[in-house]
Amino acid sequence: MNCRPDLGSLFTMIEIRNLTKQFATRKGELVAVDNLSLSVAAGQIFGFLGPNGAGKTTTIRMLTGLLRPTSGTATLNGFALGQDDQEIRARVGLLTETPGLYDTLSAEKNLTLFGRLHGLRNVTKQAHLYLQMLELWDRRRDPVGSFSKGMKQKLAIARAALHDPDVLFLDEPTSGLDPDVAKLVRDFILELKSDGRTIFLCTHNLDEADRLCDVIGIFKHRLIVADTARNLRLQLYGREQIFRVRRIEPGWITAVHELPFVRQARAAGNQLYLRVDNPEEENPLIVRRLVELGADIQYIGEATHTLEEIYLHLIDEAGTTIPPPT
Amino acid sequence: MKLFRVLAIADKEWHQAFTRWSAWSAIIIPQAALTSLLLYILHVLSVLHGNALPDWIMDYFLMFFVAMPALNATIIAASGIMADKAAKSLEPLLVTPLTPLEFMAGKLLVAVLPPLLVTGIACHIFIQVAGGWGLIKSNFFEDIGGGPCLAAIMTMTLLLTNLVALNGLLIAARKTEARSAALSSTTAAEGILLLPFAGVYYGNLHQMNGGLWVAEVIGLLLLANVAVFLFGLHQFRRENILFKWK
Repeated sequence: MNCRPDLGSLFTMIEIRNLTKQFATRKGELVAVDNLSLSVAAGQIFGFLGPNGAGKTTTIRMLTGLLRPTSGTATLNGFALGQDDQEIRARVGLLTETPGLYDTLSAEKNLTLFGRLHGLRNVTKQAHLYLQMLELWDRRRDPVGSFSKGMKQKLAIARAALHDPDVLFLDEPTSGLDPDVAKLVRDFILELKSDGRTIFLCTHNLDEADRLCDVIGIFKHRLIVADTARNLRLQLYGREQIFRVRRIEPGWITAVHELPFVRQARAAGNQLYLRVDNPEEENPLIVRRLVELGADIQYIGEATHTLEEIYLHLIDEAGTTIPPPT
Repeated sequence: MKLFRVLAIADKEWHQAFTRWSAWSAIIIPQAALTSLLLYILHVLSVLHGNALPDWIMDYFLMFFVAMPALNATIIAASGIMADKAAKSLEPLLVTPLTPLEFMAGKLLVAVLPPLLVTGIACHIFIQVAGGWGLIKSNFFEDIGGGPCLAAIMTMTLLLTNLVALNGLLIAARKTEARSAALSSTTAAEGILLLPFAGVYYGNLHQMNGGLWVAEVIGLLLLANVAVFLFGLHQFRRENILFKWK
């Protein structure tokens, strides 16, 4: 399967080549990230998916200059990891799994502190802008300790985006949030994207990843696949057509599968699932054949596979092909 | 090193620690109590020995003022680190261009300066009151070395406070619980604080000029500060903070 998305002529914001991180533990070497190669185009939302302990946080920590890779190279906006770490830190924003805010300080003070660390000239103006965008303006002078989880998360996202970074690393941005706040956060992420920011999104919310991400990377110590969700669906399932009939007689599956363009055929209940490449051309031929066989066709449609199905399929497959970290 | 980042960290530490009166009272009350106690002891000694107290007694008394800010500084420094750990704010801080040197300098600034300021005021009050009572000879400071010696004592106080605050930062880095960090850092500080008293004892024993033994103690403190600071820079590296700090 293609592990590099077709990015066309888009400018590459993140370029990772054979990135590896090993940790020395009492039990020996632990390979957290193994030979990761990946490109993320500027202005894209890249969904970095994988089970807990897959090495996602380690990857983010390497890409933000917090951890030195054991081997391999990476560049962010042309700046090389390990050589231009200060430049990289000035150009990335990170939302960690826990908001990591100062409870005794006000929301505004929390933001201005980070603005000052980034050397922003218009810190207060920028902080006010983000407080308004994320609907925290009325509480700007209140200590963050009095905030709800959703408000803290919004403030942490504002902090990560405050200095207009080229790349935003967001680790579980909507985890544990109520639907209203989660939607606001998702809309804000899309707004950041529309501003041209590149977003590296780690999430276990696969529906969210499907809705937000341009490219999905599935990762478990190694990159299993990186492509658009549409391409992943096509590669894994093709364009599977559903033909619902009143009843299925024995022999119909074989008869339909004999058609030269039907790649796969299966039945479930009173539905036939047929995998074809060009349904617009081939569905009428299938209909004709089914009618010849005496089928009463009630409905024709295309099967949709959720990202969760794709993810579980690939992770399951990887479990048998990727050895556990040593 | 960028000064604006040092000041940003110092500002954050200041707002976390000193916007409440409880923090100020934790510095002011012990120092006021100790100053009062020293004045009382000085008064009792003057009653017993007459007004002309020997200079060496004053040497020891001054050393209390040298040591006094250090205990506050170590607790403020340690609690600053513990506050960052409790808030889990270290990782977001480390993703900024903040360097280990700027991070340490910002924290030290707030740990060291307020206790020094309060001690300076306490020492001034002590000298004024004791001088007013006629317990300090008018030529006492000239006797121990004059203005340069006073400047040296202030330098010694600054270095000692800084060393103990650094010690507080490093101990807190290895602790998971705030009380344990405060206890361990003050216990370690008490050992360091013996240094100026040992200096006075050594200087008096060998009949040394006040300026000379102070210079020797300053030399020792300077070396210790540099060594601990360099060790601190290593400990404050990003990978160490993320993986070796508890």
